[in-house]
Amino acid sequence: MATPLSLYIPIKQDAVSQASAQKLYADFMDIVTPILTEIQIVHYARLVLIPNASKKGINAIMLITSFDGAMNPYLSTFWNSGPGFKTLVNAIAAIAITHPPLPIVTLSVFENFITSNNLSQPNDLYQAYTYTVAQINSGE
Amino acid sequence: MMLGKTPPPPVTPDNSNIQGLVIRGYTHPFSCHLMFSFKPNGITLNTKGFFSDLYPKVQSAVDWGNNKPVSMLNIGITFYGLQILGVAQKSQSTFPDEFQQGPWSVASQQSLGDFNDSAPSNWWYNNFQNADLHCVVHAYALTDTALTDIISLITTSAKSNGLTEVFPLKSGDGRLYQSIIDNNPAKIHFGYTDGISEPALGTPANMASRNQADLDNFVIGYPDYSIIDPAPSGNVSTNPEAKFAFDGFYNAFRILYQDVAGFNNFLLAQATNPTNVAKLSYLGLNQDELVEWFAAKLVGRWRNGSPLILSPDAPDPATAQSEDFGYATAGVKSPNQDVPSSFKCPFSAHTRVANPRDQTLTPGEGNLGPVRIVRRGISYGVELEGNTDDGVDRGLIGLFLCGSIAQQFEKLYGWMNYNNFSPKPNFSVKNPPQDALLGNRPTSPNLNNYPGVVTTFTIPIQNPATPTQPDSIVISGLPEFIKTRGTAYCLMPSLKALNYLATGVMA
Repeated sequence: MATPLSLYIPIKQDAVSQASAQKLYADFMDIVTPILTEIQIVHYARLVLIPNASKKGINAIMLITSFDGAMNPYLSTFWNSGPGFKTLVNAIAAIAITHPPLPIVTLSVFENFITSNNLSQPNDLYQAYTYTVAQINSGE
Repeated sequence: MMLGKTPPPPVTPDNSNIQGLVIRGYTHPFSCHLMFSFKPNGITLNTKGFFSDLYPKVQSAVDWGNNKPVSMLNIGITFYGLQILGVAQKSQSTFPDEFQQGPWSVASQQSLGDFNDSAPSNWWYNNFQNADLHCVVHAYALTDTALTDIISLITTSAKSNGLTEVFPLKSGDGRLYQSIIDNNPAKIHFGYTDGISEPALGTPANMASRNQADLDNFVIGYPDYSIIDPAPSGNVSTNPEAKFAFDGFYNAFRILYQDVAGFNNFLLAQATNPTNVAKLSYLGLNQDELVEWFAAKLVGRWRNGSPLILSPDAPDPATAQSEDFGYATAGVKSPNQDVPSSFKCPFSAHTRVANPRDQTLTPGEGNLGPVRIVRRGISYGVELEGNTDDGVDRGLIGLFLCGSIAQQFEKLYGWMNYNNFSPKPNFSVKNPPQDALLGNRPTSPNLNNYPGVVTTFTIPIQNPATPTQPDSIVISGLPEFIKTRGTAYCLMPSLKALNYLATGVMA
């Protein structure tokens, strides 16, 4: 059973932050595809821009994913995957209404930022299969 | 590690400010591990008085030379304990999430896998609630009398300062006392010499030389070169939690019952199994020697400590404490094809899982090498005579010391429960095995957490007479040799932090 992560980050409403959110959405696949392909533990990942109730502007960024391994020890896998992921995290934190001191440069601050904004618990996931990404890719 | 700037030169922590356990294994023959709740016992709680009474006996990491203390202690405090002490914030704490949530949390149990009898709902014989444990005092002494004296000091102070002692066992007086097996403090009930191969705890010379065994991965407050970044490691001038935690480390305190009779009978059954005996006849071993052969294959070391990689055929006193070896076979093109090393040491042998050394890891584990942990385990409960269970509680008092409970302790525990961390051939992708000795054997519905997991232990063998026909001993349905009696995650604060708790003044 994979571990779900639903990172919900309310963002600032100024024009620069709103534009940054749109750019993150546009660039997301290009940023994460090589990283997630390399580490082979992520089932899927997507970035969602949640609109304001007024339908004008973006209320929050939501990063939704599920990955193999337990949440606690495997957040470090993402952090250690290279500069691209760190840049992505800092870009998200930079437009967040609440964030730790920037830039985020240490693993522990990153872990606290993620866990404090994660809306999912390990058991909050329906999965039609139990296989890991490695098992699916192995073709065994 | 700091990014985008050149870090300052590496700093070596001050041993006088670090509780000694992480730096050195104590060899005192007597110890007791006392557990307390800060829930008032009927009189006003005075934790300052308690820590003030105990502080003079706290042992630092300074080398005691020839003046080995007659008695001494180290102290651990849980997150809830730190909250009651006013050290940890009620909300938005910067302590690691797994420390805040505790080992019974769903997130931690993803890795620890304590099911059935081992489940957190059964911990501590239900003598107290998991969240009510706030402080663990580890007392060590050279003599039985000295131990009695320091226990008296601790418990008298606790009682007079309003603390409530809680008891982890239901036998004896309920406390955890060290027991000595065969007059060897390093020996555990399963008969192995433990405590071999601990991290070097050095200081890296530069970024290129840092590794998982460096001290900055175990002690809080040295993030510049650390791979692990023990937390809270923020600015001590602006983060009071980071200031308190500086020079501290974590103890995953875990009490593991050991089914010694079950283990002994399992070994005997393997050594007398006709199929096994026939396959292993080329070794020329008698029944007792076959028992030892199977015991060694389960753990990766003979019971005297000799690693199978260095001493594959028999225990050797010369290698009993050996630490300098690897598992990778020279000349093998791909780790997926590294079968030769398994003829010496099976892939799921306990020591090979808990410390894979130079073994290639899967991409999801990163490229910084296998994490390490400092083990200070000792036995509790009297030694079993014979192979029939006598109903006595016995096992391991596990002190697993680390800088990050999640990244080090929980990661290794996850590996033990699910051997999918390495692309070795016998770590089948589709059906990963478990640590042969310490894996918690999952049953439905927990099987879903470990896709395809099997409780089969494969021991590759190669008869020299038939070198082109490798074979294997396959043991199906590995029993559960251990049960978890309880677990607590504790911060082992620095001496300055403990002095703060005793005086209210932070140096």
